[in-house]
Amino acid sequence: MSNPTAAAAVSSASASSASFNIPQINKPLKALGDDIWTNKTAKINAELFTLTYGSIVAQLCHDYKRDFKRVNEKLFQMGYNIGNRIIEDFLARTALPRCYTLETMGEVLSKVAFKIFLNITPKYKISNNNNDLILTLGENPLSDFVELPSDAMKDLWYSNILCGVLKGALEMVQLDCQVEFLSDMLRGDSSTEIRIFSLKLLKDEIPAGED
Amino acid sequence: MSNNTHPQTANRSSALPTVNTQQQRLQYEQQLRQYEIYKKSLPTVNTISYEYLMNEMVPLAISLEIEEGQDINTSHSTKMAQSHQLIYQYCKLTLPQQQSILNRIHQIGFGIGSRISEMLIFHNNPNLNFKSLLSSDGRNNNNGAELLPVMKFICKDVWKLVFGKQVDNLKTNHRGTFYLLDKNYCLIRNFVVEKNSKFVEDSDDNLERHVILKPYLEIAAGVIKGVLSNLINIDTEAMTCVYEFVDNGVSFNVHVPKS
Amino acid sequence: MAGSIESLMIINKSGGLIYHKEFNNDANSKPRLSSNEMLVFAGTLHGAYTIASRLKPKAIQLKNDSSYNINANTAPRVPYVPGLGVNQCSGTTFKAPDFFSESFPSWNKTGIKQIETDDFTMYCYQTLTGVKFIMVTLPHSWVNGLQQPISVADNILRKVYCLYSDYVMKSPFYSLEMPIKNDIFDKKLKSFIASLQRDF
Repeated sequence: MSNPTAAAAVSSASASSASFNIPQINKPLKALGDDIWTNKTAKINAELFTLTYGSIVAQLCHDYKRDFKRVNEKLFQMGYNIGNRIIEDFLARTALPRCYTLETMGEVLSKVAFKIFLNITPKYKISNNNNDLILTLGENPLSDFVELPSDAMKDLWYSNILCGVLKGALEMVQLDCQVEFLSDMLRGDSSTEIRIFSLKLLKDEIPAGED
Repeated sequence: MSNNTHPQTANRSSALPTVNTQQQRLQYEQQLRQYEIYKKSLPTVNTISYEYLMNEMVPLAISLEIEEGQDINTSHSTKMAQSHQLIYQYCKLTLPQQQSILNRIHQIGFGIGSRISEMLIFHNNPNLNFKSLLSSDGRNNNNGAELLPVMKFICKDVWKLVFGKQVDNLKTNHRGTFYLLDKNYCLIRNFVVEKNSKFVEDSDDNLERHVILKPYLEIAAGVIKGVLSNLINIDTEAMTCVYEFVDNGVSFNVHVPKS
Repeated sequence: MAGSIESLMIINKSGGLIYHKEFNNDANSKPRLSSNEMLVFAGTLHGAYTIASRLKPKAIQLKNDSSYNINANTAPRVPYVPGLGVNQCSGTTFKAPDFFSESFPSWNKTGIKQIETDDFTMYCYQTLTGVKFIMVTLPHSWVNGLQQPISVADNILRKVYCLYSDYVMKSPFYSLEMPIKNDIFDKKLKSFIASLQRDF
């Protein structure tokens, strides 16, 4: 069935090309993200992005009569739908392999995913006994120059769409998880943190042929 | 995109600060160059992120409308509904419901428009003639002479920023009505409404397509009104912006009554 | 080979055929397979692919059990083949001249990559999300001087994936997993394939 000579040709070619292994993944991933962002990405003004998102959140708060918990849910749902689709874009652009460790996943999310879509590289750390991944956003183009009204400070997770996008995208690569905001500088916290937890690789759903 | 886009109206320069002498022209051109450099230095994000945000705005507004008619406890159905399902549901809603969805989207567009004009003014855009636009000392200054530069500003700078290209053609009857023709309106440029899909049963594909695309045009109508309300001293309610599909694109017809 | 692409299929992660286009075929001529036959073919291929991935020889299984599997990123890389449909990404959100410009790891490690008969060759590219892009071409022995037909095929199919992500995914009217009826994608794909015929 499959052609042995061609397969041999591929493997010999790959032997000569640089191998891509985890211990030294650090530099290549950053370089990959930077390269795609700089050379392959069409860009728009970040402030336009910010205020478009701001208008959407404002409308939601109005429609839900300032029931911020429902606003959070809706933003998450909106993100989830985006994540389901944007993942294909991410994979087509990067062709990155599956992440088998939280460490790699954090790195890919930070240096490649956040980099090419939002031009930021959040810090990441692994906590809770190697079970949770925490992303710390220094800048956040969704909320630049945004100030929350006082009634929203307690309950609104202004950028909750990000959690939805992460959830929706990870699910498409057979990773079940939960994503939530731990803190947000908009609410007066000292940092903006997203926690990805209860991670589970849905082994049965991994497409055959991938190993 | 190109500069030869406003054939019908007075020549281009009326949108600009008066350019009388050679010196003023040079000064203006230098400002324009500085503005371009400045624009390039501003932070950016991936266009895809913005496109997805724009796309999702419509299903969001639709799901809000559907939820409104439901008990909070039973609204789970829309909570997990996928965006494309929501969009096709739009056609099945009653006219008042559709209108209410359009109003929501209009509000979002309006928010974008009013803030974008502030942003562009703040950026010192030389195409904005502050004196004629903003002599808002409480007196009305919405006669045609001032309105035209604002409309040109919308066609050029606002459209370029929000929709990635300029309006292709601007016409006016000089009595407060303006026709903005976009031959390739970016929000729907790559949209394909699936013919004969299970969602669209109507035999008249074109009609159906137009109904379902309406919310995406409403965004632009909202943006236009948002900018106008910010720059022109006039009651927003009195302005109208309707849109229609024409042979070669989409036409946005804006009417600003004289007071 | 690039000049001899006969048809292209997209199969969703559950084995459903969601796209099929034939090239080099008169508009009026009858399709080689009926749409029902196509569906059966896609499902069968999907099944065969799944089962074939378990036919791994013992020696490789042992190798996988040690270090190979954990360190999955040592997977063979597909070399970048320059010049395939370059400049076809203008108008997409990919910035010209080419969609990508480096070698990339293959997601398809143990599944079927290629099926060869005397009359045609079929190539299969699978994404991490489980979508399969299938391409049928003339047998590659017909094309002189082509060193690594699989690499060329992987490059071409990844570019089709790029177009798919840009035009199919971004249409808010598209229902995920469902058949693709998208004339803009059709047009883009056609011009991409045509550019390959021209360049080779």
